[in-house]
Amino acid sequence: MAGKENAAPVGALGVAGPRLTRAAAKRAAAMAAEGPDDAKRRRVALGELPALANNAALAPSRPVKPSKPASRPARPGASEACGPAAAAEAERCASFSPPRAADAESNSASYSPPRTTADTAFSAPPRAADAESNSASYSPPLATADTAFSAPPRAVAPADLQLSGSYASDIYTYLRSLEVDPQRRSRSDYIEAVQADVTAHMRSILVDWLVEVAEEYKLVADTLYLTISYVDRFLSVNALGRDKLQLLGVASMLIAAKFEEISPPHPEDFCYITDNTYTKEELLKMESDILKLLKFELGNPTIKTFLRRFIRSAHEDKKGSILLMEFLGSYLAELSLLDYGCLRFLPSVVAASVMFVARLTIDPNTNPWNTKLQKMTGYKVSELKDCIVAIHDLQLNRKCPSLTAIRDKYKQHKFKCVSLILVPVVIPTSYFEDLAE
Amino acid sequence: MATIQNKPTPTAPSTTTGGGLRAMDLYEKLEKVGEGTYGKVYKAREKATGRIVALKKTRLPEDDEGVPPTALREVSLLRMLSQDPHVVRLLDLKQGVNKEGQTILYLVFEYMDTDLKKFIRGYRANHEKIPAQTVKILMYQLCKGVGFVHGRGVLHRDLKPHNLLMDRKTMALKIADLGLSRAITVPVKKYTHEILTLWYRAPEVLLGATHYSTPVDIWSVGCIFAELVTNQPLFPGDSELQQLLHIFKLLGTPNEEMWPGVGKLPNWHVYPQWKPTKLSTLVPGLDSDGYDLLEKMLAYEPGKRVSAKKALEHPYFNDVNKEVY
Repeated sequence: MAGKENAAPVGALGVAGPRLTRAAAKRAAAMAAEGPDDAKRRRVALGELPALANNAALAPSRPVKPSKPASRPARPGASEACGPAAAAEAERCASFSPPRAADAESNSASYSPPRTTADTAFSAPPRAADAESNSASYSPPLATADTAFSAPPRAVAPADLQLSGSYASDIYTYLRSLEVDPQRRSRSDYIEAVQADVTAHMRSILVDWLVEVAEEYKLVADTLYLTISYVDRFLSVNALGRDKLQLLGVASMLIAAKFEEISPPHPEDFCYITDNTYTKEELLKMESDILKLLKFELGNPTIKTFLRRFIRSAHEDKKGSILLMEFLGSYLAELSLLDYGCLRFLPSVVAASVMFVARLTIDPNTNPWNTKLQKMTGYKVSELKDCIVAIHDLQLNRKCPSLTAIRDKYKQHKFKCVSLILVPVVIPTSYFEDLAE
Repeated sequence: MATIQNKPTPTAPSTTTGGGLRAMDLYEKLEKVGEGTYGKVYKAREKATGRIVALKKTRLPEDDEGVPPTALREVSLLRMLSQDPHVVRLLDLKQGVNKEGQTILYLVFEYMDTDLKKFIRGYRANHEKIPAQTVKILMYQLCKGVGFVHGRGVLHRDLKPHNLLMDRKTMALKIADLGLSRAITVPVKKYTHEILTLWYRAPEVLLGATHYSTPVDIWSVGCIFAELVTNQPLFPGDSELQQLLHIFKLLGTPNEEMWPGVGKLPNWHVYPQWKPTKLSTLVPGLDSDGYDLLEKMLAYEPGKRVSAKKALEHPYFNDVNKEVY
């Protein structure tokens, strides 16, 4: 095992060079081939987002993504998708940077495909349009922010929520039964028990990169969580070579996006984001393999599913912005995805533990757990302790310190800079004592 | 008309790999019986057992994108829902590749010999009304099925007579075609606009709300209820605007008093101020309990619309033998 791992960097380096060269050649050819129509289209797209024009000006040398074939058929909801799709397209053109040789070298130590780094993805300062559009993805309906693509603001009737309430307990009970279904759950020991080549660290690197891809393509949070769950379920059954790990990641994200997004990215988009390491045929073959293994059981509850319910209920007795709680909860939940060790916890346990740590962060002097939270989640704090410690360690950067996509994502103003909030280093032991009945 | 020859076994559907040709070798197509959200539907016989099934084939997009999102959603959600007697049962899943190397998916369903659309049309052609007790047991099953689906956190979003399969002999009714369905989580979140077939589309969807939830399916159920009673669609609009105007003309133009927040919906405009017509005029032939239930299903404010779960407890269904359906 050690020998094999030592050998890998050399082989990967040998492969990475030509791949980058071909990619660079493709981009150069694409730039040379640009005609007035392409330029016109880009101007129109950029015009919809004035802020992006400034960004483009700041980085004039960045290559432009080749335009997609015009014959793509319309899809349901396509008319609504024009705004976000155009924005996503403009953003890709304006901000995407190809992997550099240095990136390739550092990545080759773990697995061979080059990827976008956190520095590249988040080097531009946050823009107002982004903040608004992304806030819409994370806000609860009642707090939905105005977005660049929808005016006037969309009203939400509070009564709608109450009506969901009549099914809320049925749905919650059902989701809890689903999350323990062995057919839908990944093994917590698959790295040791099933995998020969893939390591926990490689998985963490993949998760970190997929967070960036989800940001790049503006995917909703559920898509990311489902993606990771499909990756884990697949790896629980099939041993995979490290050279296919990224393919598994993008194919899982393609499936999750088709299931969850109004307008999912196209297979070509996912090939592109891997610097065309894989062909579309390889991607679709992997999609088919994943679906076969999952038996098309795609709608399993994730950490995010439970977190939404917990945050909404908990907010009622907590002062302050619900958005802060939302973003802090999302931040901590995404950090938990990095940690292979967290697979031993049920998604609802992780979500409840995230609630604990988020509330601790906001108000370190008050016991974060109370009888209401215990009743709502169904967990005593003693049942959560191990998971709380794991998440707290992630928050303090004691685990996965070099994987910064999530921390960098949540440094942005649009997420209220929640990754910069000071964290109490020690959790008082009294907080882990079960509440008096 | 053929009826079900064998009771399907309750085993979970298997997923098997086979070429497109091989999948079709297992079944003999008898006739095309319709089209679902994303593909053709055939009546077929399973060669090994003689069992009659419905075979649904994915329509491949010209620009190959792999498995269509509608297929992914339908199969995934059916895997969650098929155990209920009022949701059509998915028996098997065949995944293969056609001659051009594209992925093909065949969904194998239990066969139901008709759908509610054909059933209603048959009565209309004979200038007859559907018997009141028949309306009641069909509506009971529909509410039960929708209640189950909603209780599993799924919106159907395309309930209409064509998607409600029936067995004429037993009067069993089952919900089908979940291709436009999606899982909801609690609380609601932003969803696709313009998803429901027009005649059965809820006013909040027509007015551009994207944070809709279970009440959109109940509105459809109410429209179906009325259609079962009269044999005619209640709100047969031919454009989004016409659909809205049709509803407002008959039920009265909504205002902030009866539907708080309606004026803030994206597609809200100033509309002619129509007064509501009595349901007994719009839908002649129901008793008072029936009108009460129908009124609750067609409440403008989504939060005031009755849930399917609560509808099952309504006095209208008191004389239904609830152990049979």
